[in-house]
Amino acid sequence: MERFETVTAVAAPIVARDVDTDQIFPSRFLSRPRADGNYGQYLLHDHRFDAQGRPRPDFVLSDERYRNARILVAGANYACGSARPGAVFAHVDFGIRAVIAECFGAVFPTVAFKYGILTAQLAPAQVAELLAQLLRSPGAQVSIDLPRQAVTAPDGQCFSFEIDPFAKRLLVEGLDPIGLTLGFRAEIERFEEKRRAALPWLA
Amino acid sequence: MTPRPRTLVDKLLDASTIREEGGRTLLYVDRLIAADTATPAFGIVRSGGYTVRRPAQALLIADHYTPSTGPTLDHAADEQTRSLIAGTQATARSYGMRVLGLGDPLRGIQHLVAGELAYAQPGIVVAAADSHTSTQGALGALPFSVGIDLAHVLATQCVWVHRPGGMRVQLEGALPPNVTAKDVILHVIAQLGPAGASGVAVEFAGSFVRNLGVPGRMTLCNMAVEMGARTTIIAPDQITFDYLRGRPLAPQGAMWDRAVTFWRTLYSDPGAGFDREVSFDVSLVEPMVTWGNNTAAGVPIGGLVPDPAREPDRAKREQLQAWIDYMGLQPLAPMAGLVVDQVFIGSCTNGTLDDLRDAARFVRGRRVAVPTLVVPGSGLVKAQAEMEGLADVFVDAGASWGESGCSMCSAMNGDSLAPGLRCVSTANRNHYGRQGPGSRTHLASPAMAAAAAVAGRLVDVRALVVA
Repeated sequence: MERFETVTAVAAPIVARDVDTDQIFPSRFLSRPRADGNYGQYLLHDHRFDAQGRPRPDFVLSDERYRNARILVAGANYACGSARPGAVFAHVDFGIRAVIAECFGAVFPTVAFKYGILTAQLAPAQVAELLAQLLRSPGAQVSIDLPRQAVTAPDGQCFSFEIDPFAKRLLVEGLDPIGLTLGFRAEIERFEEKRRAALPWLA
Repeated sequence: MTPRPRTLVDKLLDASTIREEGGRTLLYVDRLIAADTATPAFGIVRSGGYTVRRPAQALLIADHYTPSTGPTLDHAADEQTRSLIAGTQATARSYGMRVLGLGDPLRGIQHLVAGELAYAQPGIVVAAADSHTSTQGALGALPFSVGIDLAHVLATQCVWVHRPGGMRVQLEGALPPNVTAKDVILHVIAQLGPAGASGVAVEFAGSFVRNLGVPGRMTLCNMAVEMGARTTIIAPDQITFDYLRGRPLAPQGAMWDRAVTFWRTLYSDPGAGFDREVSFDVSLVEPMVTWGNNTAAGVPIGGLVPDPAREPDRAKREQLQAWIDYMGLQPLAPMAGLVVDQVFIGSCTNGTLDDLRDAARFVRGRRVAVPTLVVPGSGLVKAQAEMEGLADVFVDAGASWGESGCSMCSAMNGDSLAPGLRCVSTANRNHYGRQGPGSRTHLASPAMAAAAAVAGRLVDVRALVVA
């Protein structure tokens, strides 16, 4: 997994609230195999393309200035709805490294950091300020310093965010979470023995 | 010294915690469920050089891509879905997992099958990729939807979670006639909003819940995720125990008594601290229908499409207008009387026998006015519905009767809605394109959906004479 320390990049404003995973990755693409970063084309697909596959010029990601966007600043409750893996991989394949929002859907923030994507929660007024600046200056850059837990807006204002040490370490060190967990194998086995004794009818 | 009072969720989290690390809890997963959507998770397990750590605690149930047109792979919508079903079934078998695959009479939608088998039980942690895993909180299990973290659960039998805060939703009173648990949860979500339970553990409680059967409890828990809940639970009680007794994986004999003794300790202690408590009087709930593109966009059937001009918040105003445009509606238009093109009855939200009986009451002896697809939530529900004549009621009315699966809820098995068409659905989501590109979905109860199928438009079930 790609490590995440500091990222300075074009940030795309996704102004709408409650952008669900049916929008982020329409279900009809879920049966397509993922290879060579092909899921990037499905990110927010039906906002970006019409029924004939032509780009919708009024959507933010259709604008050339956002071609290299690596950060999304989104409305509240981003990625709510389904827990589909494609929603995470679409961001990865598009090149998104961080999503900033007031709050997220139930599952997306619990898995995104394991695939190198930071989900940073800021206060509603801070997200509103970031969105306002990005709408005023399309193509402007935002900086994220994960070790310092800080977001720097295009005008230089700095906002700090909370992240637990576990998620931060996985992102900064680019660790494989499965390998990390299996490092506790002995503890897990001791727990399993205890559990079998407590709930023997599960055997 | 008396122990600190704890919520039920806290008790279960404490009992399943292996270790704490950097603000996260490593939680043991007693049982996991994979589906025919597990190809990416299996891929991560294999490419990492891992294996399925506890195959005896892992079950694969094909449901998302499975055809509603018939019970074999030949019925699959296309080559891609056929190979995903066959591939996940074969991979799971190769790891030694139990598989409920195409053609198995016990196969169905994973969340309902887990209850029918008593695979989900009070007090255990259940994890599955799917967001509606929350359904199993109805049995007093602690469910976690893990998305692509299914790979991690397969390989380790554990999951890292943030200990969620607690929120109790008290539902008091008794329902008026022809109002259902579906209407209650649509009402609750409309009141609390799409992020009203963001990231927290919701416990449903109160006199309404205590008197509600397991299928209705499943409907409540199923949809808690639509207001952002991380996990959901209802304290198990005699209704739960009676539901579980004798099911294939339920404890037997002396073990049953031991299990019930433990299950009776599973409740939130008096005085346990919830971060938030909300209360609703269900006797005031009316039949609900959604008008917009989030589950929270629900109004009583007698209600109107909102007027964006009256919304002071700009982002919300723009959202209302976008939904009105997408749904082809007008501000302040009445919901009742809205002409619909299709009806879907089924899904993990409303695919139980109770739901089909509810729907059949409004269809019996009548004809459906629009194409109507009825898909039972499981193979067992299908068999029982056929035995007691419910399937005939639907078929005689001109509806289609399908093989169990997710079908038109997630629209991944070939069952979908054409662009611009309007569908009344008993499922859980009405998002943009949910039932196919350009599809327009109105969520409602099985009774409301059946009534709409007969009338060809949205109608108030309370005004109808039942055959």
